[in-house]
Amino acid sequence: MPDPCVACLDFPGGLPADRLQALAEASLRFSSQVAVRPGESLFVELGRNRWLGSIRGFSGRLELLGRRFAGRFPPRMGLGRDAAEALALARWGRGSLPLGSLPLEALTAYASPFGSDREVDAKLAEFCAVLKSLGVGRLDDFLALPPHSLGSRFGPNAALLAGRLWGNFSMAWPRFTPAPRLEEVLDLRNPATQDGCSSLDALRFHLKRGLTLLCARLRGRDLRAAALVLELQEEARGRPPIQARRLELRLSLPLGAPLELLKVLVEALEASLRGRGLAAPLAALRLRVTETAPALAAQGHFFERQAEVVEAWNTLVDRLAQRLGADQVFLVDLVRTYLPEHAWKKYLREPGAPRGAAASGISSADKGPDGDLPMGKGPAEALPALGPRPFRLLPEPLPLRRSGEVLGPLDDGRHWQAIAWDGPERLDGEWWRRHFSRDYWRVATAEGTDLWVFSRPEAPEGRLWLQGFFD
Amino acid sequence: MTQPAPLRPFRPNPQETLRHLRQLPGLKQALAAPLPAGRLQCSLFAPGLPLGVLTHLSGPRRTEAMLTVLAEHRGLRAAWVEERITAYPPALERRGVDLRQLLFVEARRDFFWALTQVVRSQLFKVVLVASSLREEGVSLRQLQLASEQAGCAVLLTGDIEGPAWAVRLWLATESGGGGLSLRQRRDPLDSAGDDAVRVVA
Repeated sequence: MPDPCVACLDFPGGLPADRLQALAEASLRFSSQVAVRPGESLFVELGRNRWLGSIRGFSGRLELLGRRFAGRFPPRMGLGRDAAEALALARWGRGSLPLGSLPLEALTAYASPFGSDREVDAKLAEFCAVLKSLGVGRLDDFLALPPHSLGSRFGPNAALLAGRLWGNFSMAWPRFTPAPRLEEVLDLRNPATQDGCSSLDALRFHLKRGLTLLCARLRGRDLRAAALVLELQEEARGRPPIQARRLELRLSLPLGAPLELLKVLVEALEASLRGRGLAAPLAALRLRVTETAPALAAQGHFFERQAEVVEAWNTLVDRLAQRLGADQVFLVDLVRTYLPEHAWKKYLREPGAPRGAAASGISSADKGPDGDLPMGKGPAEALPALGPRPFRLLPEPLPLRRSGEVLGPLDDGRHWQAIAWDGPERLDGEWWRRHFSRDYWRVATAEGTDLWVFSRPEAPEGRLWLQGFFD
Repeated sequence: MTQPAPLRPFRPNPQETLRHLRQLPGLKQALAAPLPAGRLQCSLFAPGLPLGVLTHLSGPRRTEAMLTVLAEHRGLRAAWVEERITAYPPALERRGVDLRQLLFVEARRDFFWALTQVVRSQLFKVVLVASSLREEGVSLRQLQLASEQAGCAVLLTGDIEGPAWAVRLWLATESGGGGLSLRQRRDPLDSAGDDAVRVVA
């Protein structure tokens, strides 16, 4: 039996993607052949490094490293001839069971070692159930079945699994490559006095320097920043080390110009420091781009300012969204529905981007219910001719009482004298979701404002709802 | 020996201040100075809407009047700034407004800040302001300077609670026979003996 040459660390409670990535990156010290099973496991190929030490010694150090990244549950270690065997032993062998005594469920590792696949899992569960009904409960039992009849009795996948168990088919290794880090770390201390940075103006200067460097690197890769993280490290001054203050900035629209990014970042920083100032001068800052989006044209155009307009637009949207909220700055598209309050939805896009294309980093808040389709060309083409629609719509229809020709009062005491009624326009539908039936009227009033009101068939006489104004 | 009169705290009287301002030499000339950035053609108002100044619209159907401006200039990038958005986009599109060119900003508590940023960005030729302004005259003057720099027509349709001398043009809607037009109103600064500058649309 050949020596094991692959180590697998399996995390029973799962491991967040960023931590698994960090662990994989740290494992590159042992071998250049590292792979991950997303959210679950890490594989390190140690066979080629045996001349540096024993495989047991390597696996022990790898396990220690894994414990530093693990959450509540410590990782389980498995050593095997290939990734599938290492995973099977780590997950089902509990560190001591031999391969043959593992339950049939361990075939999952052989079916798809580098990522879970629901379809494969479902087929395998079905296959295991068939085998168990025949009295086959462990891998040894499965391997004892005559190999030449596996295909004809259980299908081609059974033969393939057996082949993998025997080690006849090696699987392609999806090698882990760390993503390039777009990061700048600046020392903010005065080189002469070693004093830290203690004013926002000075910090702004350092930020500008850091962003200029970062944006140059982004530009070299034809990218723009869609999300940033800023970490500010305060001076320790004899105290125990303080955790760096962290500011995450998720941009509604991506930016690539350092000065535009600076505007957004400084505003976010000021807002963050408003309630909770710094306890000590700053010793260092770290700027990291965590999400990117494709850049605009790599070179500026002499006669067109489109790229500048897009950058200015994105900056404005990002600054407003940072302060007001991501869904309070938006463009609007119409939705194919008769229910007036659901007839539009919010979205964000760069100027000049094709309709329907969403830019990276855009947050979209639907006003309409899910499943409604954007209309694209306007309601007149998508729906039969509709009656007049008000320019102003209230967020919620307000109950209104009709007494003769007097409408109101509302909670704030407003009331109107109706002088002419135009309607009704019956809107009825969406029985499959939330059925509504309304009769709409445009009411001219003595006060000069035209109201848009509706009644419901099931409501008592004189009961109306005010939904908008023809202003 | 008589006691000196007690000192009274200085309380500026807005009416007095305005009276003094009116007598400043050159004020009228300054107000009548040429427009900084030209005009935007508008079928409702023959001289056209001035760019780079604050314009106030009052009267019924004033939103419709604003939208007419946008409908007549479909390629123009515009912004709709309001404390809480009440605009109804399907009606806007039916009126001829190009929704792809209209950025909505629901500013809530930071209304004036957001409005100023939108105007200062120099991205928009028309900014529609659909909420009341409750700012100091100085703030409004800053907004006016920003609009002048951006060459942007800022159309105000809400109340202005406070000194409104930074508003250059006052327009009122006139509707007759189903049609709609705009006529120039008297500047509230000029209203005889009435220094109350609260303009209720």
